Amino acid sequence: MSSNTAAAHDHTHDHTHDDHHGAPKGLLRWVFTTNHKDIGTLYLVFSLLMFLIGGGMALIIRAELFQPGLQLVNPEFFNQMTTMHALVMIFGAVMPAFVGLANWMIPMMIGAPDMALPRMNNWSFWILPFAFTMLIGTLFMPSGGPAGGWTLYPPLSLQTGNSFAFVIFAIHMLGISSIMGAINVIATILNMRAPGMTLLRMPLFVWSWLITAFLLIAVMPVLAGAVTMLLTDRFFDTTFFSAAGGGDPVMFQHIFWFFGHPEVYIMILPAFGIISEIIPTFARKPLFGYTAMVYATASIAFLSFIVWAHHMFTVGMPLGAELFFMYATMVIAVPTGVKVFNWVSTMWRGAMTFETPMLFALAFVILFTIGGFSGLMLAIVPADFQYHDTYFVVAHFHYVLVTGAVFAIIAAAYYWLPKWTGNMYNERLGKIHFWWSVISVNVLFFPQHYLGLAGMPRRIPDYAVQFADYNMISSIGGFAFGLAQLLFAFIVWQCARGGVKATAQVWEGAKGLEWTLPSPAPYHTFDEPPKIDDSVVAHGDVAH
Amino acid sequence: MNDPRPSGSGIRRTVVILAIIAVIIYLLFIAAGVFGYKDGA
Ligand code: HEM
Ligand SMILES: [Cu+2]
Repeated sequence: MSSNTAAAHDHTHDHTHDDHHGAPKGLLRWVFTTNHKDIGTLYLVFSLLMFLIGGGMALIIRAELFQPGLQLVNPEFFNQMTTMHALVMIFGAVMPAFVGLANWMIPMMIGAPDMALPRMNNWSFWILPFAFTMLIGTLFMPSGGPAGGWTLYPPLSLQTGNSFAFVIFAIHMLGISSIMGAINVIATILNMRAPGMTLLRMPLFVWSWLITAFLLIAVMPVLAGAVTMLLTDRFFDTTFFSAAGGGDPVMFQHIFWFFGHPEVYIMILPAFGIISEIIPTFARKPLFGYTAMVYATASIAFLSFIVWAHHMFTVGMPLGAELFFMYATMVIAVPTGVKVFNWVSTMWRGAMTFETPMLFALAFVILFTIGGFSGLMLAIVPADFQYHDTYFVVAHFHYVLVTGAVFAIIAAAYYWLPKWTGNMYNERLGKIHFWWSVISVNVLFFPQHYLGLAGMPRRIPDYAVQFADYNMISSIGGFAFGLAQLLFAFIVWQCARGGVKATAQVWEGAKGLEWTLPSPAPYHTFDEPPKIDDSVVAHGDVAH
Repeated sequence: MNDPRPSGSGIRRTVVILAIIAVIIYLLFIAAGVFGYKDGA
């Protein structure tokens, strides 16, 4: 017994000792980890897995739509696929990817030793695998998964069987995870910056996450409230959203979109931050208009709270409300335009090179802007009466989300992989991945604009024959794009295993605290606060 | 920003305030649901 205790003591001792110099070994390292880099890796790997699962669902959708008629799946299952694809991609792929990047990069960018709340950080992550097992598990329950669309509009969503309870529980868990993550980000940024890292010296990625975290805390509870009321309507005889009982189904839409529109900005603001890091590096110039970028991000976040009803123009609102939400929506184009203008000005007369992260960043600027323009078209009330619930909307949000958010995440992965792993990824494969993706993604989504303008409704498993050609083209693009992402997974895996050793700075034009650390970044960094002066301040050097 | 390192109280204050805000918003929107009733049937 006593020798056991001694051994255990020794072990603990070794363990603590390890903790200060390197990563502990074994599987339990990942279960119990409180290290921001480990947790960042967990988030990113989880996100990649969800991206592939959600992508598989998308390919089931595109396979069914390859030809008119019903070929592969029954309509009920098709509807479960559209619903689940969206939920998995939004809450499982895009949001966790950004949280993973935040975990890895924010402490290193502001000179902090870790996140402010490391144990809560572990929790925020480990909730996710359980929530998604439950959510995806509903597909295998007798009543099937949710099939009424990710927006969960009642009364349709209330027709889901008993699996609905699991869906709601999963969404609550995802919300709690997001809120804890957001609190952690804010607490870290506000309390743990190294001396001299003033707010207006922070890299834009950190700024964009600070603002995003406030959005998350403001709207995730709104979603939670909405789905709690769905739950009681479905199982406990309340009638919040049933006119028959004195409730109001349109009220659900208002509450949902009060969450839903800020949510789409939650998925794009960190992407803006990433692009604002990458473009200056590869243009070898400080970011043009740093402070304007910060204010633009903040205005976008503010405006995102007063435009929600542009998702409901056709629901029957008073004319004054239609006008208000139309103009408010269009006003967002102003700060968004500021950002695009500043990225372009940063590149103007820069000494540019086109490594894979830069290629994805450039594609982002152009293709995200296409999505912004189709958004403006949708914001025009009389036009939206035509476009609403058609493939035009599908084309719009896939440009902003896939060639926007997802491209930014991929760009970030290429940009920081050498810092994470200590190895350079295979640049030739990276370029192949880029060109393959950028071509196929347009083959996939551009024709959907035409389908929508011609009147093809979204969320249908079968369609009139005049839509056949463009659907077939879109499906071919879809399969090609899916294949390209398997290549991406391979490149990441290969880079993690080995390769040409990366230098500390990695990229010639890179500036910022994270690039002063060796590659791979040691398990513990900035145990002592770094010295901040203009030479290490990233592109947030306002003096320039 | 004199002492930048984990200042326990600063972090605690931030967390408590943000958590309270989140809970209030949640309850607020449920309340909105409750008041959304016209006259119950
Ligand atoms: C440039 C500013 C933007 C404008 C003016 C805009 C406008 C709109 C409008 C009016 C709709 C409703 C269309 C309808 O249902 O009839 C819509 C839908 C949507 N937008 Fe945007 N949008 C913009 C940017 C974004 C961004 C940045 C994202 C995400 C990153 C986004 C994601 C979505 C999504 C997911 C939907 C569809 C939601 C659904 O019904 O499932 N939008 N947008
Ligand atoms: Cu919106």
